[in-house]
Amino acid sequence: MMNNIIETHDLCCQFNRIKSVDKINIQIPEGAIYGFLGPNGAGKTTTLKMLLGLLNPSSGSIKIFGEKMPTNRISILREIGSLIESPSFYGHLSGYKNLKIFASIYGLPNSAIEDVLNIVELTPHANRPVKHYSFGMKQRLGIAIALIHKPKLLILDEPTNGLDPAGIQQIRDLIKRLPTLYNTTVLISSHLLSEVEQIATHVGIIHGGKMLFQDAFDVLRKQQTSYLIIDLEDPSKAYQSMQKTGWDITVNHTAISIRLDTPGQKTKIFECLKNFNIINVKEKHRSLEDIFLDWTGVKKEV
Amino acid sequence: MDWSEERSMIWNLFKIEGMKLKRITWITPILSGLLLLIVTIGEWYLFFREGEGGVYASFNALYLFVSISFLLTGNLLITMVVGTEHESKGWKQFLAAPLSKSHLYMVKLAWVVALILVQGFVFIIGWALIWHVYTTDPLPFLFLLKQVFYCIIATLPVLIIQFYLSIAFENQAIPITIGVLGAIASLFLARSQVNWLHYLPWSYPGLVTPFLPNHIHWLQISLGISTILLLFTNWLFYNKNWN
Ligand SMILES: Nc1ncnc2c1ncn2[C@@H]1O[C@H](COP(=O)(O)OP(=O)(O)OP(=O)(O)O)[C@@H](O)[C@H]1O
Ligand SMILES: [Mg+2]
Repeated sequence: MMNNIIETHDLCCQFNRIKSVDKINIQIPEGAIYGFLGPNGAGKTTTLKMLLGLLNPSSGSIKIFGEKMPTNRISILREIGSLIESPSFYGHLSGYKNLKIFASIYGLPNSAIEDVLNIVELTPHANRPVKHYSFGMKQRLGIAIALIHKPKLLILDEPTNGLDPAGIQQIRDLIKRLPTLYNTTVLISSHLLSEVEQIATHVGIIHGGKMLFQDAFDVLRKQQTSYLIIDLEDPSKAYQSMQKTGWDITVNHTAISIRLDTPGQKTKIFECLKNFNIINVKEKHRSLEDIFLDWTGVKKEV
Repeated sequence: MDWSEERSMIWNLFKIEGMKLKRITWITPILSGLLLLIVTIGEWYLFFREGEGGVYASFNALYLFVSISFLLTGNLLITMVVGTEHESKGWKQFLAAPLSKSHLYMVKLAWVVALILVQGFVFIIGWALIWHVYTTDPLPFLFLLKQVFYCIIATLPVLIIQFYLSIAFENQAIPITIGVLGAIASLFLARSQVNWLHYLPWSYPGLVTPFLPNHIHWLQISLGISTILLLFTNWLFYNKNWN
Protein backbone atom coordinates (compact mmCIF):
# COMPACT_ATOMS: atom_id res chain seq x y z
CA MET A 1 0.00 0.00 0.00
CA MET A 2 1.38 3.41 -0.87
CA ASN A 3 1.41 6.26 1.60
CA ASN A 4 -1.98 7.71 2.29
CA ILE A 5 -1.98 11.24 3.64
CA ILE A 6 -5.56 10.91 4.86
CA GLU A 7 -7.31 7.71 5.83
CA THR A 8 -10.66 7.53 7.54
CA HIS A 9 -12.38 4.43 8.75
CA ASP A 10 -16.20 4.29 8.89
CA LEU A 11 -16.36 7.95 9.80
CA CYS A 12 -19.81 9.09 10.94
CA CYS A 13 -21.29 12.35 12.10
CA GLN A 14 -24.75 12.73 13.48
CA PHE A 15 -26.82 15.84 14.18
CA ASN A 16 -29.97 15.22 16.26
CA ARG A 17 -30.11 11.53 15.29
CA ILE A 18 -29.78 12.32 11.57
CA LYS A 19 -26.61 10.95 10.02
CA SER A 20 -24.99 13.70 7.95
CA VAL A 21 -21.94 11.59 7.29
CA ASP A 22 -22.38 7.86 7.19
CA LYS A 23 -19.44 5.43 7.32
CA ILE A 24 -17.09 7.32 5.07
CA ASN A 25 -13.76 5.75 4.18
CA ILE A 26 -11.54 8.32 2.55
CA GLN A 27 -8.13 7.45 1.18
CA ILE A 28 -5.97 10.17 -0.24
CA PRO A 29 -2.54 9.22 -1.57
CA GLU A 30 0.41 11.55 -1.16
CA GLY A 31 0.72 14.16 -3.90
CA ALA A 32 -2.87 13.76 -5.05
CA ILE A 33 -5.32 16.49 -5.84
CA TYR A 34 -8.41 14.87 -4.44
CA GLY A 35 -11.75 16.24 -5.59
CA PHE A 36 -14.44 15.70 -2.99
CA LEU A 37 -17.56 15.95 -5.02
CA GLY A 38 -21.18 16.07 -3.91
CA PRO A 39 -24.37 18.13 -4.26
CA ASN A 40 -25.53 20.66 -1.63
CA GLY A 41 -26.07 19.06 1.75
CA ALA A 42 -24.11 15.92 0.84
CA GLY A 43 -21.88 16.15 3.90
CA LYS A 44 -18.70 17.63 2.43
CA THR A 45 -18.22 20.45 4.91
CA THR A 46 -19.13 18.20 7.81
CA THR A 47 -16.50 15.67 6.74
CA LEU A 48 -13.81 18.31 6.26
CA LYS A 49 -14.57 19.80 9.68
CA MET A 50 -14.11 16.41 11.28
CA LEU A 51 -10.75 16.03 9.54
CA LEU A 52 -9.66 19.34 11.07
CA GLY A 53 -10.94 18.49 14.53
CA LEU A 54 -13.64 21.17 14.44
CA LEU A 55 -16.41 18.59 14.79
CA ASN A 56 -16.25 15.46 16.86
CA PRO A 57 -17.08 12.32 14.88
CA SER A 58 -19.91 10.30 16.39
CA SER A 59 -18.00 7.16 15.44
CA GLY A 60 -15.15 6.00 13.23
CA SER A 61 -11.54 7.06 13.11
CA ILE A 62 -9.25 9.44 11.24
CA LYS A 63 -5.58 9.14 10.41
CA ILE A 64 -3.68 12.01 8.86
CA PHE A 65 0.04 11.67 8.04
CA GLY A 66 -0.30 8.27 9.76
CA GLU A 67 -1.18 9.93 13.08
CA LYS A 68 -4.49 9.74 14.87
CA MET A 69 -6.84 12.70 14.87
CA PRO A 70 -7.75 14.21 17.33
CA THR A 71 -5.23 12.47 19.60
CA ASN A 72 -2.30 14.18 17.87
CA ARG A 73 -4.31 17.21 16.90
CA ILE A 74 -1.64 19.89 17.28
CA SER A 75 1.18 18.10 15.48
CA ILE A 76 -1.16 17.17 12.62
CA LEU A 77 -2.58 20.68 12.26
CA ARG A 78 0.93 22.12 12.03
CA GLU A 79 1.16 20.62 8.52
CA ILE A 80 -2.35 21.49 7.32
CA GLY A 81 -3.70 24.62 5.72
CA SER A 82 -7.43 25.04 5.45
CA LEU A 83 -10.22 27.18 4.11
CA ILE A 84 -13.65 25.99 5.21
CA GLU A 85 -16.79 27.54 3.74
CA SER A 86 -16.24 31.31 3.74
CA PRO A 87 -12.85 32.85 4.48
CA SER A 88 -12.05 34.09 8.00
CA PHE A 89 -10.53 37.53 8.39
CA TYR A 90 -10.47 40.40 10.80
CA GLY A 91 -12.17 43.13 8.79
CA HIS A 92 -10.72 46.07 10.72
CA LEU A 93 -7.15 44.89 10.05
CA SER A 94 -5.22 45.08 6.80
CA GLY A 95 -4.56 42.01 4.70
CA TYR A 96 -0.95 42.15 5.84
CA LYS A 97 -1.92 42.24 9.54
CA ASN A 98 -4.29 39.33 9.04
CA LEU A 99 -1.48 37.29 7.56
CA LYS A 100 0.87 38.49 10.30
CA ILE A 101 -1.46 36.91 12.88
CA PHE A 102 -1.13 33.53 11.20
CA ALA A 103 2.58 33.96 10.47
CA SER A 104 3.09 34.48 14.21
CA ILE A 105 1.24 31.29 15.05
CA TYR A 106 3.63 29.29 12.87
CA GLY A 107 6.64 31.36 13.88
CA LEU A 108 7.29 32.53 10.31
CA PRO A 109 9.31 35.59 9.27
CA ASN A 110 7.68 38.55 7.50
CA SER A 111 9.14 37.33 4.21
CA ALA A 112 6.63 34.47 4.32
CA ILE A 113 3.83 37.04 4.33
CA GLU A 114 5.27 38.82 1.31
CA ASP A 115 5.74 35.53 -0.53
CA VAL A 116 2.19 34.40 -0.05
CA LEU A 117 0.80 37.86 -0.89
CA ASN A 118 2.64 37.53 -4.18
CA ILE A 119 1.28 34.09 -4.85
CA VAL A 120 -2.34 35.20 -4.47
CA GLU A 121 -1.57 38.55 -6.13
CA LEU A 122 -2.71 40.70 -3.24
CA THR A 123 0.53 42.65 -2.79
CA PRO A 124 -0.95 45.93 -4.09
CA HIS A 125 -3.80 45.69 -1.57
CA ALA A 126 -1.81 44.43 1.40
CA ASN A 127 -2.23 47.56 3.50
CA ARG A 128 -5.93 48.17 3.01
CA PRO A 129 -8.40 47.03 5.68
CA VAL A 130 -9.90 43.74 4.62
CA LYS A 131 -13.48 44.94 5.11
CA HIS A 132 -12.92 47.08 1.99
CA TYR A 133 -11.76 44.12 -0.09
CA SER A 134 -13.92 42.72 -2.88
CA PHE A 135 -15.36 39.24 -2.49
CA GLY A 136 -12.69 37.68 -4.67
CA MET A 137 -9.90 39.43 -2.78
CA LYS A 138 -11.24 38.11 0.53
CA GLN A 139 -11.36 34.63 -0.94
CA ARG A 140 -7.74 34.95 -2.09
CA LEU A 141 -6.75 36.20 1.35
CA GLY A 142 -8.40 33.07 2.78
CA ILE A 143 -6.27 30.96 0.48
CA ALA A 144 -3.18 32.94 1.46
CA ILE A 145 -3.89 32.20 5.13
CA ALA A 146 -4.20 28.51 4.27
CA LEU A 147 -0.92 28.54 2.33
CA ILE A 148 1.29 30.75 4.45
CA HIS A 149 3.18 27.91 6.15
CA LYS A 150 3.57 25.83 2.97
CA PRO A 151 1.48 22.99 4.37
CA LYS A 152 1.90 19.34 3.43
CA LEU A 153 -1.87 19.07 3.17
CA LEU A 154 -4.25 21.72 1.96
CA ILE A 155 -7.98 21.39 2.64
CA LEU A 156 -10.20 23.73 0.64
CA ASP A 157 -13.98 23.74 0.90
CA GLU A 158 -15.51 25.04 -2.33
CA PRO A 159 -12.77 27.67 -2.75
CA THR A 160 -14.07 29.02 -6.05
CA ASN A 161 -17.61 29.59 -4.82
CA GLY A 162 -18.80 32.97 -6.02
CA LEU A 163 -15.67 33.87 -7.98
CA ASP A 164 -15.75 35.17 -11.52
CA PRO A 165 -14.34 33.00 -14.34
CA ALA A 166 -10.95 34.72 -14.22
CA GLY A 167 -10.75 34.24 -10.46
CA ILE A 168 -11.73 30.59 -10.79
CA GLN A 169 -9.05 30.08 -13.44
CA GLN A 170 -6.45 31.77 -11.24
CA ILE A 171 -7.20 29.56 -8.25
CA ARG A 172 -7.37 26.46 -10.39
CA ASP A 173 -3.91 27.19 -11.81
CA LEU A 174 -2.56 27.79 -8.33
CA ILE A 175 -3.96 24.53 -6.99
CA LYS A 176 -2.53 22.62 -9.93
CA ARG A 177 0.91 24.05 -9.18
CA LEU A 178 0.89 23.19 -5.49
CA PRO A 179 1.96 19.55 -5.59
CA THR A 180 5.17 20.54 -7.38
CA LEU A 181 5.57 23.93 -5.68
CA TYR A 182 5.42 22.81 -2.04
CA ASN A 183 4.91 19.08 -2.41
CA THR A 184 1.40 19.63 -1.12
CA THR A 185 -1.43 17.12 -1.22
CA VAL A 186 -4.73 18.87 -1.89
CA LEU A 187 -8.22 17.97 -0.78
CA ILE A 188 -10.76 20.20 -2.47
CA SER A 189 -14.52 19.95 -2.23
CA SER A 190 -16.92 21.03 -4.90
CA HIS A 191 -20.43 20.48 -6.13
CA LEU A 192 -19.35 20.90 -9.74
CA LEU A 193 -18.04 17.92 -11.60
CA SER A 194 -16.64 20.12 -14.35
CA GLU A 195 -14.45 21.89 -11.80
CA VAL A 196 -13.11 18.72 -10.24
CA GLU A 197 -12.55 17.23 -13.67
CA GLN A 198 -10.13 19.99 -14.57
CA ILE A 199 -7.81 19.66 -11.62
CA ALA A 200 -8.29 16.43 -9.73
CA THR A 201 -6.14 13.33 -9.98
CA HIS A 202 -8.43 11.48 -7.58
CA VAL A 203 -12.09 11.78 -6.82
CA GLY A 204 -14.54 10.85 -4.09
CA ILE A 205 -18.24 11.27 -4.72
CA ILE A 206 -20.44 11.77 -1.68
CA HIS A 207 -24.20 11.91 -1.56
CA GLY A 208 -26.58 11.81 1.39
CA GLY A 209 -23.59 11.30 3.69
CA LYS A 210 -22.47 8.16 1.85
CA MET A 211 -19.45 7.69 -0.38
CA LEU A 212 -20.66 6.47 -3.76
CA PHE A 213 -17.39 6.26 -5.59
CA GLN A 214 -13.73 6.78 -4.82
CA ASP A 215 -10.75 6.17 -7.04
CA ALA A 216 -8.31 7.77 -9.44
CA PHE A 217 -10.09 10.16 -11.76
CA ASP A 218 -9.15 8.07 -14.78
CA VAL A 219 -11.14 5.18 -13.37
CA LEU A 220 -14.18 7.43 -13.26
CA ARG A 221 -13.47 8.57 -16.82
CA LYS A 222 -13.60 4.97 -17.97
CA GLN A 223 -17.19 4.84 -16.75
CA GLN A 224 -18.13 7.17 -19.57
CA THR A 225 -19.87 5.11 -22.23
CA SER A 226 -21.66 5.48 -25.50
CA TYR A 227 -24.78 3.65 -26.55
CA LEU A 228 -26.05 2.88 -29.98
CA ILE A 229 -29.82 3.16 -30.06
CA ILE A 230 -31.32 1.43 -33.07
CA ASP A 231 -35.00 1.74 -33.97
CA LEU A 232 -36.20 -1.42 -35.67
CA GLU A 233 -39.40 -2.91 -36.99
CA ASP A 234 -39.00 -5.94 -34.79
CA PRO A 235 -36.67 -5.15 -31.91
CA SER A 236 -37.35 -8.25 -29.83
CA LYS A 237 -36.37 -10.55 -32.69
CA ALA A 238 -33.17 -8.59 -33.25
CA TYR A 239 -32.47 -8.78 -29.53
CA GLN A 240 -32.83 -12.56 -29.55
CA SER A 241 -30.53 -12.95 -32.52
CA MET A 242 -27.80 -10.93 -30.79
CA GLN A 243 -27.93 -12.53 -27.38
CA LYS A 244 -24.94 -14.77 -27.98
CA THR A 245 -22.63 -11.84 -28.75
CA GLY A 246 -22.15 -11.03 -25.06
CA TRP A 247 -22.82 -7.34 -25.64
CA ASP A 248 -24.71 -5.25 -23.13
CA ILE A 249 -28.10 -4.90 -24.82
CA THR A 250 -31.41 -3.60 -23.60
CA VAL A 251 -34.64 -3.69 -25.53
CA ASN A 252 -38.04 -1.99 -25.60
CA HIS A 253 -40.90 -2.24 -28.10
CA THR A 254 -39.40 0.17 -30.63
CA ALA A 255 -35.65 -0.06 -30.24
CA ILE A 256 -32.62 -1.85 -28.91
CA SER A 257 -29.78 -0.12 -27.17
CA ILE A 258 -26.27 -1.51 -27.20
CA ARG A 259 -23.37 -0.32 -25.08
CA LEU A 260 -20.27 0.43 -27.13
CA ASP A 261 -17.26 -1.09 -25.46
CA THR A 262 -14.76 -1.82 -28.22
CA PRO A 263 -13.70 0.25 -31.23
CA GLY A 264 -14.79 -2.10 -34.01
CA GLN A 265 -18.07 -2.93 -32.38
CA LYS A 266 -20.29 -0.79 -34.57
CA THR A 267 -19.35 -2.65 -37.75
CA LYS A 268 -20.11 -5.93 -36.08
CA ILE A 269 -23.48 -4.64 -34.90
CA PHE A 270 -24.51 -3.58 -38.37
CA GLU A 271 -23.29 -6.93 -39.69
CA CYS A 272 -25.60 -8.70 -37.25
CA LEU A 273 -28.53 -6.51 -38.19
CA LYS A 274 -28.24 -6.73 -41.96
CA ASN A 275 -31.40 -8.86 -42.20
CA PHE A 276 -33.51 -6.46 -40.13
CA ASN A 277 -35.31 -3.31 -41.15
CA ILE A 278 -33.49 -0.46 -39.49
CA ILE A 279 -35.56 2.71 -39.13
CA ASN A 280 -33.14 4.95 -37.35
CA VAL A 281 -29.73 4.86 -35.63
CA LYS A 282 -28.66 7.23 -32.86
CA GLU A 283 -25.52 7.31 -30.78
CA LYS A 284 -25.94 8.50 -27.23
CA HIS A 285 -23.02 9.47 -25.05
CA ARG A 286 -23.25 9.06 -21.28
CA SER A 287 -20.90 11.71 -19.98
CA LEU A 288 -19.32 12.05 -16.56
CA GLU A 289 -21.93 14.66 -15.81
CA ASP A 290 -24.69 12.17 -16.62
CA ILE A 291 -23.05 9.58 -14.40
CA PHE A 292 -22.71 12.04 -11.55
CA LEU A 293 -26.32 13.15 -11.88
CA ASP A 294 -27.51 9.55 -12.05
CA TRP A 295 -25.62 8.64 -8.91
CA THR A 296 -26.61 11.67 -6.93
CA GLY A 297 -30.22 11.33 -8.02
CA VAL A 298 -30.56 14.85 -9.33
CA LYS A 299 -32.18 14.78 -12.74
CA LYS A 300 -30.84 17.02 -15.40
CA GLU A 301 -33.12 19.87 -16.29
CA VAL A 302 -34.28 19.84 -19.92
CA MET B 1 6.90 20.07 26.05
CA ASP B 2 8.64 21.80 28.93
CA TRP B 3 7.24 24.71 30.84
CA SER B 4 9.45 27.47 29.43
CA GLU B 5 8.50 26.46 25.89
CA GLU B 6 4.85 26.40 26.84
CA ARG B 7 5.17 29.77 28.53
CA SER B 8 6.64 31.35 25.42
CA MET B 9 3.83 29.86 23.34
CA ILE B 10 1.21 31.30 25.68
CA TRP B 11 2.93 34.69 25.58
CA ASN B 12 3.09 34.52 21.79
CA LEU B 13 -0.61 33.73 21.67
CA PHE B 14 -1.34 36.60 24.05
CA LYS B 15 0.43 38.99 21.69
CA ILE B 16 -1.43 37.53 18.71
CA GLU B 17 -4.78 38.01 20.44
CA GLY B 18 -3.69 41.54 21.25
CA MET B 19 -3.20 42.28 17.53
CA LYS B 20 -6.86 41.45 16.90
CA LEU B 21 -8.28 43.96 19.37
CA LYS B 22 -10.11 46.92 17.95
CA ARG B 23 -9.34 50.41 19.17
CA ILE B 24 -12.77 50.62 20.82
CA THR B 25 -11.80 47.66 22.98
CA TRP B 26 -9.00 49.78 24.47
CA ILE B 27 -11.13 52.90 24.80
CA THR B 28 -13.99 51.14 26.60
CA PRO B 29 -12.20 50.37 29.89
CA ILE B 30 -10.63 53.83 30.00
CA LEU B 31 -14.00 55.52 29.54
CA SER B 32 -15.62 53.15 32.03
CA GLY B 33 -12.95 54.01 34.61
CA LEU B 34 -13.57 57.72 34.09
CA LEU B 35 -17.33 57.23 34.17
CA LEU B 36 -17.12 55.38 37.49
CA LEU B 37 -15.02 58.25 38.81
CA ILE B 38 -17.51 60.92 37.71
CA VAL B 39 -20.58 59.06 38.93
CA THR B 40 -19.02 58.29 42.32
CA ILE B 41 -17.82 61.83 42.90
CA GLY B 42 -21.14 63.22 41.68
CA GLU B 43 -23.05 60.99 44.08
CA TRP B 44 -20.80 62.01 46.94
CA TYR B 45 -21.07 65.68 46.05
CA LEU B 46 -24.86 65.61 45.87
CA PHE B 47 -25.77 63.29 48.73
CA PHE B 48 -22.80 62.54 51.04
CA ARG B 49 -20.76 65.74 51.20
CA GLU B 50 -22.69 67.38 54.01
CA GLY B 51 -22.84 64.18 56.11
CA GLU B 52 -20.60 63.35 59.07
CA GLY B 53 -18.25 61.21 56.98
CA GLY B 54 -16.95 64.21 55.01
CA VAL B 55 -14.54 63.30 52.22
CA TYR B 56 -14.34 59.74 53.52
CA ALA B 57 -18.02 59.23 52.73
CA SER B 58 -16.93 59.13 49.10
CA PHE B 59 -16.06 55.49 49.76
CA ASN B 60 -19.70 54.83 50.57
CA ALA B 61 -20.63 56.39 47.25
CA LEU B 62 -18.02 54.26 45.52
CA TYR B 63 -19.43 51.11 47.07
CA LEU B 64 -22.80 51.82 45.44
CA PHE B 65 -21.41 51.74 41.92
CA VAL B 66 -18.22 49.73 41.86
CA SER B 67 -19.78 46.26 41.39
CA ILE B 68 -22.20 47.15 38.65
CA SER B 69 -19.52 49.14 36.85
CA PHE B 70 -17.07 46.26 36.65
CA LEU B 71 -19.81 43.77 35.80
CA LEU B 72 -21.17 45.86 32.96
CA THR B 73 -17.77 46.78 31.57
CA GLY B 74 -16.74 43.15 31.79
CA ASN B 75 -19.86 42.15 29.90
CA LEU B 76 -19.11 44.71 27.21
CA LEU B 77 -15.46 43.73 26.88
CA ILE B 78 -16.34 40.06 26.61
CA THR B 79 -18.78 40.79 23.83
CA MET B 80 -16.10 42.74 22.01
CA VAL B 81 -13.31 40.21 22.42
CA VAL B 82 -15.49 37.21 21.62
CA GLY B 83 -17.65 39.07 19.08
CA THR B 84 -14.59 39.90 16.96
CA GLU B 85 -14.03 36.18 16.56
CA HIS B 86 -17.66 35.44 15.66
CA GLU B 87 -17.77 38.34 13.20
CA SER B 88 -14.63 37.28 11.44
CA LYS B 89 -15.62 33.59 11.45
CA GLY B 90 -12.27 33.22 13.09
CA TRP B 91 -13.06 30.29 15.38
CA LYS B 92 -12.88 27.67 12.65
CA GLN B 93 -9.65 29.14 11.29
CA PHE B 94 -8.03 29.53 14.69
CA LEU B 95 -9.06 26.14 15.97
CA ALA B 96 -7.75 24.55 12.78
CA ALA B 97 -4.35 26.08 13.58
CA PRO B 98 -1.81 24.18 15.69
CA LEU B 99 -2.81 25.82 18.96
CA SER B 100 -3.84 24.29 22.23
CA LYS B 101 -7.56 24.85 22.69
CA SER B 102 -7.21 25.52 26.39
CA HIS B 103 -4.39 28.02 25.82
CA LEU B 104 -6.60 29.83 23.36
CA TYR B 105 -9.49 29.88 25.81
CA MET B 106 -7.37 31.10 28.71
CA VAL B 107 -5.55 33.74 26.70
CA LYS B 108 -8.77 35.31 25.41
CA LEU B 109 -10.13 35.38 28.93
CA ALA B 110 -6.85 36.81 30.18
CA TRP B 111 -7.28 39.71 27.75
CA VAL B 112 -10.70 40.45 29.17
CA VAL B 113 -9.28 40.50 32.69
CA ALA B 114 -6.34 42.64 31.57
CA LEU B 115 -8.70 45.19 30.06
CA ILE B 116 -10.80 45.28 33.23
CA LEU B 117 -7.58 45.91 35.14
CA VAL B 118 -7.00 48.86 32.84
CA GLN B 119 -10.32 50.23 34.02
CA GLY B 120 -9.28 49.61 37.63
CA PHE B 121 -5.98 51.46 37.21
CA VAL B 122 -7.57 54.39 35.39
CA PHE B 123 -10.05 54.71 38.21
CA ILE B 124 -7.48 54.48 41.01
CA ILE B 125 -5.09 56.94 39.43
CA GLY B 126 -7.94 59.38 38.79
CA TRP B 127 -9.23 59.00 42.32
CA ALA B 128 -5.84 59.58 43.89
CA LEU B 129 -5.20 62.66 41.73
CA ILE B 130 -8.54 64.25 42.52
CA TRP B 131 -8.15 63.43 46.20
CA HIS B 132 -4.85 65.25 46.41
CA VAL B 133 -6.15 68.25 44.53
CA TYR B 134 -9.28 68.51 46.63
CA THR B 135 -8.22 67.73 50.18
CA THR B 136 -5.23 67.42 52.48
CA ASP B 137 -6.82 64.61 54.52
CA PRO B 138 -4.81 61.39 54.16
CA LEU B 139 -6.06 59.06 51.43
CA PRO B 140 -6.71 55.50 52.72
CA PHE B 141 -4.91 54.10 49.70
CA LEU B 142 -4.86 50.47 50.81
CA PHE B 143 -8.60 50.57 51.41
CA LEU B 144 -9.07 51.98 47.91
CA LEU B 145 -6.90 49.27 46.34
CA LYS B 146 -8.74 46.56 48.22
CA GLN B 147 -12.15 47.94 47.30
CA VAL B 148 -11.29 48.04 43.62
CA PHE B 149 -9.18 44.92 43.13
CA TYR B 150 -11.15 42.64 45.45
CA CYS B 151 -14.21 43.67 43.52
CA ILE B 152 -12.51 42.79 40.22
CA ILE B 153 -11.52 39.39 41.60
CA ALA B 154 -15.08 38.83 42.81
CA THR B 155 -16.49 39.52 39.34
CA LEU B 156 -14.39 36.68 37.88
CA PRO B 157 -16.99 33.92 38.41
CA VAL B 158 -19.63 35.97 36.57
CA LEU B 159 -17.13 36.93 33.88
CA ILE B 160 -16.25 33.30 33.23
CA ILE B 161 -19.92 32.37 32.91
CA GLN B 162 -20.50 35.33 30.59
CA PHE B 163 -17.39 34.51 28.61
CA TYR B 164 -18.50 31.00 27.85
CA LEU B 165 -22.05 32.12 27.01
CA SER B 166 -20.64 34.64 24.56
CA ILE B 167 -18.68 31.91 22.84
CA ALA B 168 -21.58 29.47 22.81
CA PHE B 169 -24.15 31.92 21.42
CA GLU B 170 -23.16 33.48 18.16
CA ASN B 171 -25.90 36.06 18.68
CA GLN B 172 -24.42 38.36 21.31
CA ALA B 173 -27.84 39.76 22.27
CA ILE B 174 -28.40 36.72 24.48
CA PRO B 175 -25.25 36.97 26.65
CA ILE B 176 -25.57 40.76 26.79
CA THR B 177 -29.11 40.52 28.15
CA ILE B 178 -28.08 37.92 30.70
CA GLY B 179 -25.11 40.10 31.68
CA VAL B 180 -27.17 43.27 32.15
CA LEU B 181 -29.82 41.45 34.19
CA GLY B 182 -27.08 39.86 36.28
CA ALA B 183 -25.40 43.21 36.90
CA ILE B 184 -28.68 44.77 38.01
CA ALA B 185 -29.44 41.78 40.23
CA SER B 186 -26.02 42.20 41.84
CA LEU B 187 -27.20 45.52 43.29
CA PHE B 188 -29.78 43.72 45.39
CA LEU B 189 -28.27 40.31 45.98
CA ALA B 190 -25.40 41.37 48.21
CA ARG B 191 -27.75 43.45 50.38
CA SER B 192 -30.38 40.71 50.52
CA GLN B 193 -31.38 39.26 53.89
CA VAL B 194 -31.79 35.83 52.31
CA ASN B 195 -28.46 34.26 53.09
CA TRP B 196 -28.26 31.56 50.45
CA LEU B 197 -28.62 34.21 47.76
CA HIS B 198 -25.16 35.40 48.76
CA TYR B 199 -23.74 32.22 47.32
CA LEU B 200 -24.80 33.19 43.80
CA PRO B 201 -21.77 34.55 41.89
CA TRP B 202 -23.62 37.82 41.20
CA SER B 203 -23.50 38.60 44.94
CA TYR B 204 -19.75 38.31 45.40
CA PRO B 205 -18.69 41.73 44.03
CA GLY B 206 -20.86 43.42 46.65
CA LEU B 207 -19.61 41.24 49.49
CA VAL B 208 -15.84 41.65 49.14
CA THR B 209 -15.81 45.28 50.19
CA PRO B 210 -13.39 46.02 53.06
CA PHE B 211 -16.40 47.63 54.80
CA LEU B 212 -17.61 44.14 55.68
CA PRO B 213 -15.71 42.16 58.31
CA ASN B 214 -15.96 38.81 56.52
CA HIS B 215 -15.00 40.07 53.07
CA ILE B 216 -11.93 37.82 52.89
CA HIS B 217 -14.22 34.82 53.22
CA TRP B 218 -16.11 35.92 50.10
CA LEU B 219 -12.87 36.64 48.31
CA GLN B 220 -11.78 33.07 48.92
CA ILE B 221 -15.13 31.76 47.71
CA SER B 222 -14.82 33.89 44.57
CA LEU B 223 -11.40 32.44 43.84
CA GLY B 224 -12.55 28.88 44.53
CA ILE B 225 -15.66 29.17 42.35
CA SER B 226 -13.62 30.85 39.61
CA THR B 227 -11.23 27.92 39.52
CA ILE B 228 -14.08 25.41 39.28
CA LEU B 229 -15.87 27.42 36.58
CA LEU B 230 -12.64 27.87 34.67
CA LEU B 231 -11.94 24.14 34.58
CA PHE B 232 -15.53 23.34 33.66
CA THR B 233 -15.93 25.91 30.85
CA ASN B 234 -12.49 25.04 29.54
CA TRP B 235 -13.62 21.45 29.27
CA LEU B 236 -16.82 22.53 27.49
CA PHE B 237 -14.74 24.63 25.09
CA TYR B 238 -12.41 21.73 24.44
CA ASN B 239 -15.29 19.44 23.45
CA LYS B 240 -17.34 22.02 21.62
CA ASN B 241 -18.44 21.36 18.05
CA TRP B 242 -17.70 24.28 15.71
CA ASN B 243 -20.54 24.36 13.23
N1 LIG C 1 -25.29 22.01 12.95
C1 LIG C 1 -26.08 21.21 12.24
N2 LIG C 1 -27.24 20.77 12.77
C2 LIG C 1 -28.05 19.96 12.09
N3 LIG C 1 -27.79 19.52 10.85
C3 LIG C 1 -26.66 19.91 10.26
C4 LIG C 1 -25.73 20.79 10.93
N4 LIG C 1 -24.68 21.01 10.11
C5 LIG C 1 -24.95 20.31 8.98
N5 LIG C 1 -26.12 19.66 9.07
C6 LIG C 1 -26.72 18.79 8.05
O1 LIG C 1 -25.75 17.91 7.57
C7 LIG C 1 -25.88 17.69 6.18
C8 LIG C 1 -24.56 17.91 5.50
O2 LIG C 1 -24.21 19.28 5.57
P1 LIG C 1 -22.86 19.83 4.96
O3 LIG C 1 -22.77 21.25 5.32
O4 LIG C 1 -21.76 18.94 5.37
O5 LIG C 1 -23.13 19.67 3.41
P2 LIG C 1 -22.21 20.12 2.20
O6 LIG C 1 -21.92 18.91 1.39
O7 LIG C 1 -21.05 20.90 2.68
O8 LIG C 1 -23.21 21.06 1.39
P3 LIG C 1 -22.94 22.42 0.58
O9 LIG C 1 -22.50 22.04 -0.80
O10 LIG C 1 -24.32 23.05 0.55
O11 LIG C 1 -21.94 23.23 1.33
C9 LIG C 1 -26.98 18.63 5.71
O12 LIG C 1 -28.15 17.86 5.51
C10 LIG C 1 -27.17 19.59 6.83
O13 LIG C 1 -28.51 19.95 6.94
MG1 LIG D 1 -20.45 22.89 2.44
